[in-house]
Amino acid sequence: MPVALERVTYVYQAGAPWAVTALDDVSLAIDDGEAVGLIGPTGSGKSTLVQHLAGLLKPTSGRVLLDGQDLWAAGVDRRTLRLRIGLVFQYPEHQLFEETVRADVAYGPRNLGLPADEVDRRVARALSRVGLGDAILDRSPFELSGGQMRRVAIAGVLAMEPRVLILDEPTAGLDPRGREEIMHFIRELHRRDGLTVIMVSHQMEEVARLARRVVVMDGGRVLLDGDVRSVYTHVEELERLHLEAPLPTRLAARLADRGWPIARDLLDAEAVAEAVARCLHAGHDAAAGDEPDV
Amino acid sequence: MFRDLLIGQYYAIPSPVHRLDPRSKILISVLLIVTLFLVGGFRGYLAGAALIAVVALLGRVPLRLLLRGLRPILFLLVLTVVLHAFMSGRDSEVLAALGPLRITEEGLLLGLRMGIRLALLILISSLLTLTTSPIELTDGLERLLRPANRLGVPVHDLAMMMTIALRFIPTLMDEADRIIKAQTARGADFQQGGLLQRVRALVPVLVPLFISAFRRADDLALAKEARGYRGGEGRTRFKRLRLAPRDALAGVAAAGAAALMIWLGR
Repeated sequence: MPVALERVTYVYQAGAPWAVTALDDVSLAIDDGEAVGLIGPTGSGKSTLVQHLAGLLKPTSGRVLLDGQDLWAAGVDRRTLRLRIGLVFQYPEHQLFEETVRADVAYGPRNLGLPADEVDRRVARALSRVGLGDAILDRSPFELSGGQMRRVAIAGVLAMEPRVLILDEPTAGLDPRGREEIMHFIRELHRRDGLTVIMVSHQMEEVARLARRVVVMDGGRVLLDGDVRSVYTHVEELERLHLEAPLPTRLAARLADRGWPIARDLLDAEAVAEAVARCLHAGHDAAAGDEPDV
Repeated sequence: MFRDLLIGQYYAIPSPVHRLDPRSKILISVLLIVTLFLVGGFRGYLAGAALIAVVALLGRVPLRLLLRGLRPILFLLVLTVVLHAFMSGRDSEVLAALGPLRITEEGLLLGLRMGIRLALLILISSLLTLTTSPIELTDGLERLLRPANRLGVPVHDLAMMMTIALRFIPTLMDEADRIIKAQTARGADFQQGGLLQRVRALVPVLVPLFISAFRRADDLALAKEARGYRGGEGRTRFKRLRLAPRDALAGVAAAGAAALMIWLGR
């Protein structure tokens, strides 16, 4: 299901002297099966943007198109349409409320009015997709570890079986292992199950490992939008926003600045290591005594 | 959803009225409200209304916003006028009668008087809260009520509780907003069904909200203790309230206005 924003502007507290324009004439189209990273400094409008895609905020002006339909046009069945978009908020574990994991994950499917056996099937499937087993089903979500709670909360969204999954900083506040576990199943959801995934993140390396396309936001506008490799070569613009390209990419860029024959659009450590090794093997010693200090 | 609500009705802009010491604003408001009940004549009320308009202008508060404060009590105002019109002034001239119900001139005038007093009272207190932030207001109250300490009233603790409550209203509203949206995205429907169904639909919002409120309370208590908080004893302030010449000026102006209202409304 393709989703799009057309010239969307959103103003918080419109009319008051302290009105804030959170989105300023933003247009963005995301196709079926894409994986898109959404990055930008705090207050750049990322969260407001994803809430528009999920049909939770009505644009002050402009249109939100889900599957080609204007979500806020008269006579549109908004509820049904927006339930095909799954939105995982920041710290989703703060929204857990049921007595058992089973009941919490089942909350969404029950709201859809599905029969009991279908609800059970979806709960089991959602939990397995986030890498949790049946053993956890009858435990209280509040006695789990932080990482597990977060996965249960994400399972609660997956149980809606959305075609588009939007995650707002899904790994915030987790340790490296918890982060990797979450990123692993998000990648699986995209690659194996073919979900469209839109992920808000501060971690540019995380984005690079999931998404082909990156959208950079600043001050309520889309600053850069394109292939990860090309966006991440805008090192200076990113640094101005206090966003840092992945460390290996910056290393490659520094080396290239010093005349090493190395590509600037390498994203992961292995690729950069290989490129550096190749340079050294080729006897590139022009920079002897001029080791970059990164 | 809740973001558009004005919290505590504070209208956060700079103005000469906003800059006044909260204590003088509280005392002036009390003085004017007492004056309202000493004034009997309608010319006095007119002067009061004019004073409110002038202060609103000085405070750069839009009149529309100020008058909106009357909306919730509109019913009460009408009821006051009607009840008085029918119930009081048995012996004065009858203006209209419907069976045993009679409207007398005296009753009608008394009703109007009470209605206008009530409306002006609300406008004065709205003006106070529109131009004074909740934190300033509690600070001012704490200072003004300090003598009650000697009577064993824990003024500081009460003020601290009020400050914390006010401080966390916007935070909890934001939190509620986020939780409602998250559950809406999972197909929750807060508008459909009967009363019982709607109350039940709130459980997935209230449980996380309470959990988060307790978590925040725990964190706050720890943070305060870690920084050596031990109640009001010997506590100094970062923002000290200081009376300025403008407070004296405002006080004199208010006293003059009150005298004028009483004189006009003889």
